[in-house]
Amino acid sequence: MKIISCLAFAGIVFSSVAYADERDGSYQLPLNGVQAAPRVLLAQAAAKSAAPNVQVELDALIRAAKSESGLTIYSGATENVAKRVGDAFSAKYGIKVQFSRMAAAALMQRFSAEAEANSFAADLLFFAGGAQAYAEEGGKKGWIDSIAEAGIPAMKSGEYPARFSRGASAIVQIAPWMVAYNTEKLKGTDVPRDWPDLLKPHLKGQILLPNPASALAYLDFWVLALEKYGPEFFAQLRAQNPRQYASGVPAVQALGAGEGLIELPAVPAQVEATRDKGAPLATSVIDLTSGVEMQVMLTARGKSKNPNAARLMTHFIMTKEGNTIFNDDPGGMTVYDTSKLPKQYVAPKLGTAARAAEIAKLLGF
Amino acid sequence: MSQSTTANNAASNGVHGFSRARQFRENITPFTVLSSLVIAFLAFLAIYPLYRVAVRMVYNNGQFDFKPLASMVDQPGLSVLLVNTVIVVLISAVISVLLGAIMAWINERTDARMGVVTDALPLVPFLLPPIAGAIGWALLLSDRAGLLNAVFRWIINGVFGTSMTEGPLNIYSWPGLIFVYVIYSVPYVYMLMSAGLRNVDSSLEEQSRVCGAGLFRTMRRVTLPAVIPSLGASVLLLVWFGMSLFSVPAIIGQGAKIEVLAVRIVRLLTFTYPADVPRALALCLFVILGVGTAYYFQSRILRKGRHATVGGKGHKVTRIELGPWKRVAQSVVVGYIVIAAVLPMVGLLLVALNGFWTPNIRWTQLTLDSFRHVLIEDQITKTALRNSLMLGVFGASIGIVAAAILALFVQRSGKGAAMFIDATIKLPAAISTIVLAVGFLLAFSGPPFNLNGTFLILLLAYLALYMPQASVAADAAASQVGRELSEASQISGASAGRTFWKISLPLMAAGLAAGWALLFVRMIGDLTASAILAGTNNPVVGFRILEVFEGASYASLAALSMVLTLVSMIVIVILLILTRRRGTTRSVRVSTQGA
Repeated sequence: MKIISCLAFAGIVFSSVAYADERDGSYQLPLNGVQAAPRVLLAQAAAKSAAPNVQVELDALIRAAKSESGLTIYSGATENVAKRVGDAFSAKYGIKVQFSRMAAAALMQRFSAEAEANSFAADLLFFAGGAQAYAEEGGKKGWIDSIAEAGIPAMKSGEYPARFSRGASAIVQIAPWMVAYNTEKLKGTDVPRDWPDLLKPHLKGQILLPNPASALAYLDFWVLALEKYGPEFFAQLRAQNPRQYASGVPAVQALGAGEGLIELPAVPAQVEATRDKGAPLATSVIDLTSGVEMQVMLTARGKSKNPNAARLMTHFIMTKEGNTIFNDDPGGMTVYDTSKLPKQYVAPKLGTAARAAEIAKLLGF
Repeated sequence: MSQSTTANNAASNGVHGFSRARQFRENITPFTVLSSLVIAFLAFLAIYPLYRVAVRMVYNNGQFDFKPLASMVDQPGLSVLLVNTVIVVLISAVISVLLGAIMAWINERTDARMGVVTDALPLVPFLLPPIAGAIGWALLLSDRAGLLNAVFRWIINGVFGTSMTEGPLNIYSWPGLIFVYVIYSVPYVYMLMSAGLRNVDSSLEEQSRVCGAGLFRTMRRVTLPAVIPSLGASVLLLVWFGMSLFSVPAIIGQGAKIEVLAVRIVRLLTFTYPADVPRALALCLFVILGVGTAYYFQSRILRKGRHATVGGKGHKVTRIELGPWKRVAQSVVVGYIVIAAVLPMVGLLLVALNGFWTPNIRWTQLTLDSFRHVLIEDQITKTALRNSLMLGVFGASIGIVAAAILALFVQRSGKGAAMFIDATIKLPAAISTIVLAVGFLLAFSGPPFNLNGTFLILLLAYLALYMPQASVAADAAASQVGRELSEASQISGASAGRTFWKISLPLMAAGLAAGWALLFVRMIGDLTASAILAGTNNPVVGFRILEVFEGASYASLAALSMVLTLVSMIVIVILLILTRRRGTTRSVRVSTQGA
């Protein structure tokens, strides 16, 4: 047992150092991630000793999954991501995948209401923004099975990098928040590279902001700025007279049309969808930034209609092959290669959702 | 003496009791039993989901916890929120009633009518989902990139040699917000007032004018009192619609920094997890107050009965010849149609063809890709369209018959209990759709009903959510049906059911058709309930519109919305043709009771 604990501790240290080194940056593992990691590593270390059995377990899981009726996913990821992953999974295992796309808060509310009515429609969830806390809460209520303890082959084999496990859930995508800009109206050299750049005179009346409460993940971005620059920065930002939009989509569309010069925070996937149609849009990185970290979680085995298919999909998107397919979009980074993360990327922290009203007020919403 | 009196009283009571019992037995017919069951079911659909939501608020993990209720009173910026809501709802309602009533009168009572152009086109804004309408107006009138503003600037800069880069109009403002509310509100008034006017015998107006009253005096003294139920219903619907409309103030109000009640309620419910239901429900109390006040006044109007009712003789429609004013009247209607229906559709069409929103349309690169994707390639959207169409037709048909039964039940009994049930069924009108949808999920998705992911749960939710709208239209229609025909039918030996089917329902046809259209359009384009109750097994258009919207493509949203509007339009035109044909062959008379 002591050996396993030592292995686990060494694993944390090694993982963290390696992650920081490869990016030469300051990835800050959230507190709960640190707390969850030993459990994960314990499980992995124990499993590694039985590595030859993993393939046998995977084969058994595939057989069990194929005998089920399919797989239903509630997805916070954009439709093209869910479809691409679903198609690849179906092609590989011959299992039909259906998904419903919802915003994070709507997804959590729906799953909770169904769970309270003891009618579980989804076998698997993936979304960002409050995901970790939700998975932990769901675990306590018996709705969610912890990924770390679900015997996922990709975790047991050690293929999936343990530092991205959050215990009850696991990160399958990192998409750093960026600044989107209109390429017809703003030269690349005038695009903000750092937070103080937002206060430059040429951006007065030209900054487009989606309502920070419209997506829980937005709050991570703004809380980061608040902690670094304080409320005074927000007062100066308000003086720039930014334009307000109900959510990210109208803001990006307005940016493409020329209603402003920049829009933030933005994820490239949202911008690309419009740029592909011909809109003059591009994205740029702010060094100190947070991101959207998509996490996967499992409906409890006794509640899910297709628990084995859900576990097999979880395994699939946690392997390098599946995770690469999941992240085959601009901006989305696989957990297997984080070398392109911004220099001062900070992972989302727990508890930012509670600061929604504070952030909204600071931004003038 | 006293013994004798007592005995007489006892005998009298016995006779009365016997006679009451006999009357009670006679009143129990298969139709009254059916009516009672329908009404009880509607009340159950309205109340049970709300009960589940209320319980969920205070009962969690096996124990009661009333702490969440404490947050109900903590509502930051409440006064501003209420003032904003009252301003936008009242001003838009006044303008909409004036515009809608004038256009309905022009179309139904004057020679300025232009067939299907004036029959159906004013309804187009009503058919366009509000989220698409709000986006359509943002595309046209955003101050920097609005398509119309670009045209205006091109003209102004060309004529005056200026170099305007913004404006001249801005949708993100108070006038802009009220303008879009009006665009969406006018069809309610137009539809209900048209139905009301169709039931009024124009010979009364003719007689008034023969007696020397002018056009405006006749309108004020004869026409207006005759259509007062339709007017009351319109105002009630406008108050409800205005207080619950979300997409328009969310998209346009946000840009103008104007927050209204509906937006705050939806945000409390959808922007956070867990949803802040106590605060949202507390705000719903203000909606109940607003809608309840309008409902009270409408009930008073209906109870007074000083309005037109359809009797037993036929009537002809004599249209007022406007002479030189005919062109002016037609211009008013056409102007409204161009502004309210054509412009936003053109805006959406250009974006759908161009692929993204820009004031600099790439005229040589327009493609039908967005439409091809929606209509041919995207299987989910095709399935969703088919499902919604089916749900709309079935739901509206079931709903309007149920609403007619309810309306006649309330009208005929007129008692407190009936009024209470009526108000209960209308209660969902004042509660946020999302609260009810969550209630439906809690109430019916699990055992013993197990309706999660089925069409039935959507159908039931739509009935509960939109029954108030149908019910308002049916109340107005029922109040215009005189009692004498129903009574004559029953004296002639027809059963209550036969009387309802053969007499009441056909006489209410015009009003019910408007109610059916209301239900159909609301059901086929529902966003909020569908977002919570639809899924992989039961996709519907509203759910799909939200998915497309969140997928960041205005072009696909525009294409899908236009297809939905076109499908709705076809159904409504068929309905109008059928009801007008029926109206021309109907043999009815109009009398003015008590006026």
